[in-house]
Amino acid sequence: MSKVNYALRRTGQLVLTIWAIATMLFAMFRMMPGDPTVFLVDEQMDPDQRQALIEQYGLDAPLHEQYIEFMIQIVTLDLGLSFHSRRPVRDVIAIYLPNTLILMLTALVLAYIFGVTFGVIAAWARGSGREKLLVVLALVQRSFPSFWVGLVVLWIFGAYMDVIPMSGMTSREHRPESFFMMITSIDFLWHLIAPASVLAFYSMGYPLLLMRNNMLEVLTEDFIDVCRAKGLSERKVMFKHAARNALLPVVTAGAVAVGYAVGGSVLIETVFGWPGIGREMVNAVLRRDYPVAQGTFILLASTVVFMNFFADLLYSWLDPRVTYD
Amino acid sequence: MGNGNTQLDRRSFLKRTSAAAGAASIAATAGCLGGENGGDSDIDYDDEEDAGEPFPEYTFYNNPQDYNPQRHDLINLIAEQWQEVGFDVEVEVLEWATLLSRVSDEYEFDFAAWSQYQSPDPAENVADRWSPEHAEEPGRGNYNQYQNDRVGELIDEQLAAEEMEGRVDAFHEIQDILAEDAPFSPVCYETQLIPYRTDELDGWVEHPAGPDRIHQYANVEPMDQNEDGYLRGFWTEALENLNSWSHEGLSKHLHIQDAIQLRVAQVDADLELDPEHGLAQDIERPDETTIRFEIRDDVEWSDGEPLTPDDVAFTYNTIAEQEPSTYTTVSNYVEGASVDGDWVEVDLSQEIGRAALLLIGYEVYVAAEHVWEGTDPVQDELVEEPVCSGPMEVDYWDVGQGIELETRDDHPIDLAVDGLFWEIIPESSTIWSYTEDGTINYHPFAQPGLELQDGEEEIDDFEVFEAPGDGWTHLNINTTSEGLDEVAVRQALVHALPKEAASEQLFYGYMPVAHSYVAPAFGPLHREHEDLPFTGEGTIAAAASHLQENGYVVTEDGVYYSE
Repeated sequence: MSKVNYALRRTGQLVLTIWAIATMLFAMFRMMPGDPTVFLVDEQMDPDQRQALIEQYGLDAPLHEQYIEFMIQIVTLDLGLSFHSRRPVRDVIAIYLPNTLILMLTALVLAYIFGVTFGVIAAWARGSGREKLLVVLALVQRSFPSFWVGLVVLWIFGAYMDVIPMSGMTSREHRPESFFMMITSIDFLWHLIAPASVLAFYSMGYPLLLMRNNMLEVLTEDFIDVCRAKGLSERKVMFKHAARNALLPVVTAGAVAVGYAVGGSVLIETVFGWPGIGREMVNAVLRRDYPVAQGTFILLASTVVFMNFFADLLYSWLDPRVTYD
Repeated sequence: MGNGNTQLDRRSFLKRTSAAAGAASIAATAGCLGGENGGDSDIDYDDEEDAGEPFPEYTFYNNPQDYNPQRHDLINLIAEQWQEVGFDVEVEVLEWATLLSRVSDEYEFDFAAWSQYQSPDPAENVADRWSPEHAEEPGRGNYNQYQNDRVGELIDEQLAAEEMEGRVDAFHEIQDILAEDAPFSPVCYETQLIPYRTDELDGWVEHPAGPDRIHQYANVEPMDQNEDGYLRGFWTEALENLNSWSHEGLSKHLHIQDAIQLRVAQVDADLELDPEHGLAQDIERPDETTIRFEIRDDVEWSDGEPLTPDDVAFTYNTIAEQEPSTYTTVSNYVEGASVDGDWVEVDLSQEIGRAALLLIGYEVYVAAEHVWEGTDPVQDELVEEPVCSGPMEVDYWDVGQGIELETRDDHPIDLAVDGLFWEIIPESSTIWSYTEDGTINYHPFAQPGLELQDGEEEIDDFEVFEAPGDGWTHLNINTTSEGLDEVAVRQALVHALPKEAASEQLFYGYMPVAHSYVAPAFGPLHREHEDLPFTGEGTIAAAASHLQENGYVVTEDGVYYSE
């Protein structure tokens, strides 16, 4: 199978997957206990007006009509209005998603820089105490719940030492006029450092272990012996030749990690008061705000699916030996 | 604390319930209420041969434990008390929205319990809850399905009464009837609490409309430590729309509106017209279906346009024509409005007496005609930059992070504080750290609990301002369920309510026990019922005895109708 055919087949699978996710989401939200109209309307509201409001949001329509409407919304990327704020869901996503992306990408970059480096070092020092220390560190990182680490960090560095802010993305005194001015300010970096570090701490374990294992495998291959026979330094063998070849699965895993990371920020965003899409998604579910909850879920699921798709294509581009039969 | 077999303090209750962390421990705890103090042994059981049909099983709907742990424990405690008496009561957990829908929309329940508020006046609430016709149509508010024609007459009387005295008489009789018939029972009044830093703020005042309203903003003064002169608080989730036409169900939204928009008529702590803090300087009643407001002429909108009587008339006419959901009650009563010089005349659809000041005047925020003209429906607009009539205006608003209001220098209502700021802080320990270091200086919507009590003890220069509450935690009884349709049975159930222990358990000693439908915050409208023979002392034996006196049979196996 050619690369083009492979890409087309994967595209078809991608569309089917998103359709299946959307259908499951639609069914799931309607099977959930709880009536969204309770949050829409006042307890003491006149029944006629309550009904008018319900009709306005199409909640009285038969399920199949609601389903068709929902699918049209997804195809047209018009996800409706929030029950809660009456804001278009697109706007809600536009408000919160950039905040999450900045946090997650910062954390992932940190996690992969340190994780990959430590992975190489661990493989390089195989059998030594240094390797054991790094492997234990990776396991600890993956084992400690990120919200718990976040609370400990807040308690020590925020409440006790008062060197990091306890909540939010900016200080009250710092009111940037634009998003760009905000993210380029020292105040923003000061707020970013703690949640990004906690997330990076959690995310670092996976690339560390993956890199170590790949390195150990690559180090057994013949070309490593050739490199050494050429008289290259051990550092150059490790970082320039072995690491480069071992990096392939880590890169593709990184692409998938980006997808998961967008949705994996819920707890950290809550602990650190970070106004991201994860925190908003939880609030939307609690409020039975179907449009926002569905919209954010679809976004997060699509991100994972797209990043998987992207990783597959990336893999074929990075490693020409990969075949598609 | 109560007496007899209700000797249970909060800490020991919590210790016991949290130690086992489950229904079994709750049952054990509730059992102690009877057992230790002779609850069961005090019951003088009837002979089983006198027993007729048994009472049916009852379901007590409740939230999941994680929604409100204290209330969860309390409801299990109440259910156990009733089981001690001999009723077969099962507690069933429902997600909150389902619970609310099941009870208030569908009227499908035996028992339920939650909190409710009546701000700023019980007139609207009493009409919704107890009108006999509302019992027949699910969703209208009378979910206890309580039918009493005399209460229906009194509701109309209090609405039409021109003088306070008439309202007082009607309200007292309503409360007497409700207390006697026991379709529900208030457990404890929910005191209004404002925890604040005493080195930064002073001057809190009592008002039945609650904290964080214009009366607080107008009276609270920043102290020496408060360098920016701000009220600095927090909220746990984002505020997402500043539309004054659509604030239903969003208390934080309502409170922000109260700072940035003027109500047509403001009321003081005695529920009289308050010309100092409101838009209406005077009020007239030419007849029972007309109310006239004299509009002050010294207010400008924050965009520089003058606020005129035309704006007020436009607001009422829009309410009458579009019936936005926030103004449901007002639109039921208002036909339309017109301008007569400085006066706005509102035509009403039915006779309304003194309550019109609250139902028609206080309920409504005046809207700017030059901003809203031609908008239909007004309630669907997303408002990010509101044009303000109130003493504060929006200085900064980030949906995800917080809101900051700045006091307007040119506004006729003078505020001592320079502004208000709320940060979104979802994590509670962060709130207390911020309180301790002075980042925030008050808690706008304090929930009483262990954190509040401990915070008060641990943080220097920190106090809790308490004012009478306008609501209560209440137990609801469906008066159409078999057995519960009989007054003596409901009275016995109330008899067995451990209200003292419940108040301690739920609100950590901050809330007094409640006996009346109208909370003490409403002054003369409130009536205590401490002399009732079934005040809710949690006395199991007395509850059983009450049943026996009224012809029911109480055996060791349960409660029965007589042969």
